[in-house]
Amino acid sequence: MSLAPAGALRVAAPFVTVAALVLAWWLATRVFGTPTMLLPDPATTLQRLAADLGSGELLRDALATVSAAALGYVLGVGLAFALAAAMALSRLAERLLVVPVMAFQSIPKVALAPLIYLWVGFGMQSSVALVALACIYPVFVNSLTGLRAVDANLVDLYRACGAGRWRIFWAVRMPSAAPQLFVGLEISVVFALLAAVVMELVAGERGLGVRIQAASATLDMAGVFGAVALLAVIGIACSALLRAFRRRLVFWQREEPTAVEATA
Amino acid sequence: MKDAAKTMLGSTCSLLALGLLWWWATHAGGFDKSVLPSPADVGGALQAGLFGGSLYPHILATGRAAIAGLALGVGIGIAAGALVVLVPLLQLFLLPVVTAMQSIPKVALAPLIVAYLGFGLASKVFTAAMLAFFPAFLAAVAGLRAADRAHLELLRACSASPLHTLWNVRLPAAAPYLFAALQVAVVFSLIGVVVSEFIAATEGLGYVIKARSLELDVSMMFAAILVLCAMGVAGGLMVRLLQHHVVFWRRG
Repeated sequence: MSLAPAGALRVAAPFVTVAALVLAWWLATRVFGTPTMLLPDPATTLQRLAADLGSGELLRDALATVSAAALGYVLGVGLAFALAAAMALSRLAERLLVVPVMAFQSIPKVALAPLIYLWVGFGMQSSVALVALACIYPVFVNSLTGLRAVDANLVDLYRACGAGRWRIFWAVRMPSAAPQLFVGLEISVVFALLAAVVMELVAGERGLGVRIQAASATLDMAGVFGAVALLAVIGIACSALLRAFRRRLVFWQREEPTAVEATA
Repeated sequence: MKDAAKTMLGSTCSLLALGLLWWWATHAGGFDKSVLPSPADVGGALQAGLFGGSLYPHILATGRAAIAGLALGVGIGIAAGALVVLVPLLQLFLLPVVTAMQSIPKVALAPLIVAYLGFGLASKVFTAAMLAFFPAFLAAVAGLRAADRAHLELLRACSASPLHTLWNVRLPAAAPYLFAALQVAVVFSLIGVVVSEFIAATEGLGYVIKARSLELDVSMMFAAILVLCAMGVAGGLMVRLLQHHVVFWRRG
């Protein structure tokens, strides 16, 4: 077998799967004659999605979700990285913080949604807060691992040449931690969207979560499917964007990171 | 040993400081009970919930749904993973799709699941199973593929059946991966149940947290969250214990 067809098949295969799923969906609505209220057929869903997109309402909701997720993500990542850097550089910080961080890690963050809502209030800020909390741990643990795995000889060499703490941090520790840091960043992207949606499900003003919740409650399945599809596209696009960033920034790392990480 | 003692001392100091800060915030800092309850309030709520028994039905409801969802999701995940590894064509068609689904926040489907399956146990179990499926599936694929090539070839040379190979070579190789995934799946299944309970439920810890937030009973919310944390930690410890016994050849 030559390589070219195999490569083409490899690229086409997932689309074939998706097409087969849509076909099965269409057949199911045809054969069983399910009412649109329970399972709308693909064409109806697509029309509905186009209408929702055209009216701009769906995009407005998506923008609300994405901006809350993005803000919280930046906040959470910043906090997590600062924490990891402090613990990697200072023995004292490590001794003081290791147990509180472990305790924090054992809290299922999305369970805090109603509490955050009480504390922070109605609207986007509560989404931002929950997203930040949800993003902290994956970035923290991966940055810490990365920052610690630095080559001690290289640090010694820099120090012998008179480099200061900061110089060593940026020139030696950061590049060596970058691949691992990106593993954390990629996991956190999904957690960010997840937390934003959960907050909107619990108490939101606008956003895809609110839309999904409201449409489900009124059995407007075509509306639900459209919003879920858009959320799926956003999730996949955000992850792809981050992977592109990683290839640019961590260009010396040739192979994809092998870590198997699952997300909810 | 001395290092461990120092870490212990440091942690004790920081935990003590946090506790003091909490105590101070609720007493001198002027935080109201309906915003931040004092440690004593939370202790009281925990006592009422655990020893008074008002939390028991909710712990049972959440625990039952999480365990059922975990078993279902992990079981189907491992079976699907094994199938994908054994049939290379499936791998080509399914693996990229499942990997792409990894980037989608799947809990967003929880309201849809509630609309289809109703308010009860079924939607909680389904949501939990859906979340627990993915780590199990991916670990099964990665782990079963990680089997030693030489072993696989030896068994093939002895014309062992694919099932025999799966059981004797691939599964032991996958075991460490699977247990790591199980650890993650425990937390995910709890998250799935809690989110499902946030949306619509009449019992469960998620229901308690949500319902008490409407009554500004923050002490009981804290108690329910603490119990939830304890359930997650206990589940994780149980997985580790099981791992210690099952994957006995891999210590440390």
